[in-house]
Amino acid sequence: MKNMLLTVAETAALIETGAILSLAADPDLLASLPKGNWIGGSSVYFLTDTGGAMLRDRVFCTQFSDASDADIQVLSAQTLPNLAQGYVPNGATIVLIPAFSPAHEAFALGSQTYTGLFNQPLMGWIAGVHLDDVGRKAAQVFNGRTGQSHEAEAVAMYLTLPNTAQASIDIVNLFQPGASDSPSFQFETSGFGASTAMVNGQSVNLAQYIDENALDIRLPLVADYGGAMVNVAIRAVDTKAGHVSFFAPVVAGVTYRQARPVADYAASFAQQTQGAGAGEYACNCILNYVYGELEGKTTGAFTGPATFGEIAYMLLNQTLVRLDIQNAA
Amino acid sequence: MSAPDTNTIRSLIVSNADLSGMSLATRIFIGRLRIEVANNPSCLPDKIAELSGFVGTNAFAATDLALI
Repeated sequence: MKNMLLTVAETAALIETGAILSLAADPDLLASLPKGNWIGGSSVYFLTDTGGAMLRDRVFCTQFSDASDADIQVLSAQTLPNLAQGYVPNGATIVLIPAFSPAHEAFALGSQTYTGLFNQPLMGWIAGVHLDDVGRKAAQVFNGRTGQSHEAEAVAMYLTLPNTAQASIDIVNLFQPGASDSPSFQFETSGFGASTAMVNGQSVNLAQYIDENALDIRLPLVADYGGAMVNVAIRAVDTKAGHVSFFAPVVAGVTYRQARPVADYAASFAQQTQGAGAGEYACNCILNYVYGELEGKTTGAFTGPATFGEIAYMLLNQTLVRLDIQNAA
Repeated sequence: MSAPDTNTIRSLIVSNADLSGMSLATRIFIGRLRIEVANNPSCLPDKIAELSGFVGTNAFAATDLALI
C-alpha cells in the first residue's frame, strides 16, 4: 500500500495505469478524473507527512498495490444490509459514505446487524465538506468505474488479495472513559439525537444537564465494546429545544461515560502509534483535527483524510482507523 | 481449530472478561452481544448461537477465542 498527495494530473496518470485506488479530494477534482479502478470521497482536510492541512488542489491517493482485483458497488440505504454479500475470499473492503446522507444514517444505526459484516476487514470513512460549507453543500462519494458521484448512497470497493497477503484493521482512540465514579449515561432509544438520558440512573433533560454542569462537549461519550473504546461525538446542544445531537448514534442500553481530557492530541497519537502507520490506509476524525489543532502537526506516521466519521465495521467518531495489508510474497 | 464449547461461549458473553489481544472484529462483535444480553437476558440462547456461528465461520475468531 502506498499513500501519496498528488496533483490532478499525477492522479489521472496513475489511474490510467490501471492502479487500484482510494481517493480523497475536493469533489470538483474528483469529478475531473478519468474513469478507472478507483473510489473517492469528498474531503479537503488531510493529515499529511508534513502535518495537517486544508488542501483544495491536491488528491490524497492510496494505492492498493497488493490487491490483484477490485469490484466496486454503489449501495443505497436499502441495499447496504447486503454489503457483506460482495466480500471476496481473503479480501478486504473499503466503504465511503457521504456525511448526513440516508446511507450514513442507515449504516450508523444498522451495520452491526448486517449479515456477515464482521467476516473480513471492513474499513472506511464518511466523506465531508469544508467546515464553512456544512449545511450548504452536500458531501459526495464517487464510483471511479462510471465517474458518477453520489450524495445519498455509499460506494464500496471489494479488494481481492493474493493468498500470501493478509489484511488487518484496528483503531487508535486517544480517549478513555471517565473513572467509574464519573457520571454514566444511558439512552432509551438509539439515534443521532436525544432529549432525555439516564444519568447515573436518573432521567434528565440531557441538554439542560450538559449546560448546568458545563460539560466540555469536545469530549466524546465513550462506550466499552469488549475492550474496544467506541466514541460518540456531541454535535450540538440546543438548550432551548432541549435536544442534543450526535455525530454517530447513541445505542439504547449501552453505558457511556464522557471521556477524560486529552492535553496534546498530536503527541498522544504519536505516543500511542509508536511510529507505526507508514504504508497503511488510515483516516482520522475532523473533530480531532479541529479540537486537537492538528493543522501543521503530524500524528505519528499515519496520513490520510480527516473525515466526518470513521468506519471500522461500525461508525466511529474522534478515532483513527487503520488498515494494514501484510504480504509475505 | 475447534470452536469452544457452549459454556465457554456463554461465559464470554455474560462476563466482562478482557478481550484485549483479540481482533477488532471479535471484540466489537462480542461487545454488541454483551450489550444485547444485558438489556434482554432472555436472548442469551440466540446470542450463544450467533457467536458460535461467527466462530465456526471465521478462523480468525476461533483463534481469538483460543486466547481465553
